[in-house]
Amino acid sequence: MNTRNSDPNSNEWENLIAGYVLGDLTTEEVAEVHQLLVLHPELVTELEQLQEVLSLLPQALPEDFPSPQLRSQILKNVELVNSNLIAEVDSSTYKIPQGMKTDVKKYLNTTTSIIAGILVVLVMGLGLDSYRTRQELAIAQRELSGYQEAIAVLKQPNNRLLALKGMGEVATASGSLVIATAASTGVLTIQNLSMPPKNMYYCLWALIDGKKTYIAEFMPDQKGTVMLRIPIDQIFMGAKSVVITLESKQTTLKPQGEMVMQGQVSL
Amino acid sequence: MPISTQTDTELFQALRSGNREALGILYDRYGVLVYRLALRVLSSKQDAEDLTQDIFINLSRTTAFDAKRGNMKTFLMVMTRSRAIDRIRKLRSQSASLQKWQQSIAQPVLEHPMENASKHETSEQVRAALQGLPEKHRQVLEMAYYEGRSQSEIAQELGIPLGTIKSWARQGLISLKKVLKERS
Repeated sequence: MNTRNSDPNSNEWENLIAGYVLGDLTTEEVAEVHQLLVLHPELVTELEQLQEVLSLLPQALPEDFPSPQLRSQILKNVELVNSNLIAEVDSSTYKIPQGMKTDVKKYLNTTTSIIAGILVVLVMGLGLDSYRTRQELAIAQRELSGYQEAIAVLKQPNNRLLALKGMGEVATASGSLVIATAASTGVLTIQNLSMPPKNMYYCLWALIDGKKTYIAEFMPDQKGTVMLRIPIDQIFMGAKSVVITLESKQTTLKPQGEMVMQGQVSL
Repeated sequence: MPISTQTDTELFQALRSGNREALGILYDRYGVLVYRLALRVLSSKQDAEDLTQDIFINLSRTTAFDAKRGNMKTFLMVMTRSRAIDRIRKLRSQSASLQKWQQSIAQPVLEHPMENASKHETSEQVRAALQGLPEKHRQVLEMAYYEGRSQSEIAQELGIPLGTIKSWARQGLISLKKVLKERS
């Protein structure tokens, strides 16, 4: 401090304050700025102006626009979040009774074993199939990484499970959506789900107050298996049931297609 | 007074009192800016929309905004940048350095929000001001702001001494302030 120019209008001090705003100062320099601001409160304005200038940078960004529906979606979801928060305070819906947590663990252990099995098969397949191209290998490795991440999510405590059951043409399909509250993530796993017709896809919706809210779209692999890790917004955390519909690629994000699977909170 | 002509502070107070329409007006004022910043950092339209939604939903519940200590636009920009960079950082690395970095960017924001905002700056003015900076100053400033990189990381990436990088970033910011001040 003593080595600095004593004039608070000096470039040296301005430089130091700019460094403070940019967060590139050493601990000693930060302390020096704090002391400087106490001794020369007029420099607070200088600091605030530099911070303000930094936050103006986004105004120079290209003129991209969000989708026109985003505004109404935000307002709708704000209502949902607030009503969910009220519901959360009013009841203990989300608490799993102590005895049932053991069942969750059992289920997760079983699920983890199944996934581990899939991993082993995948790894063996990778080892045996010497004809795979490098590109296919890269894809498979990405899938492996995805499975490993999913397992990590499944192992987290306080997860909620929604069991899924197929109906109609995919009556044999079954699966689950595990919501890892702590990780704000869901893992969707389905077996025996047939490929959808051309230009169609499956879509997962949260059922909140009788209304379907979009979560994610997906396709099964050739074996009819789905394993999808989904970021779950806070607004979906309280969903007690979900549905899966078959949607046309031409439609917007509104549930217009036939319902093919349904799931309720089971644990 | 119609709600659309109310100040940001009045709208925020209305929002805190449960007036959802106030959130719509704040979105009309700053939604695009929040989205563009999110898009620049996250490079994905879907992720940018998700984050924009998070930011405004969070705004409806936050108690962190204090109109006496800073303006709404700056508050939203700081929050958006912080969360967007947080997301890309989490993707880049799960290491402990993340938390250290988060603390380092979060602290100045809460302790030193802006009061004297230059409310009349337009996008064109900011663009022109940025274009007027020496290329290396602008590049370092943008890398630090949009990519959340530390000055050391930037120095390493560009192969330039740390002291030079610090000097370029600081000079870039100081010059930008002077140019914008002259034009406002």
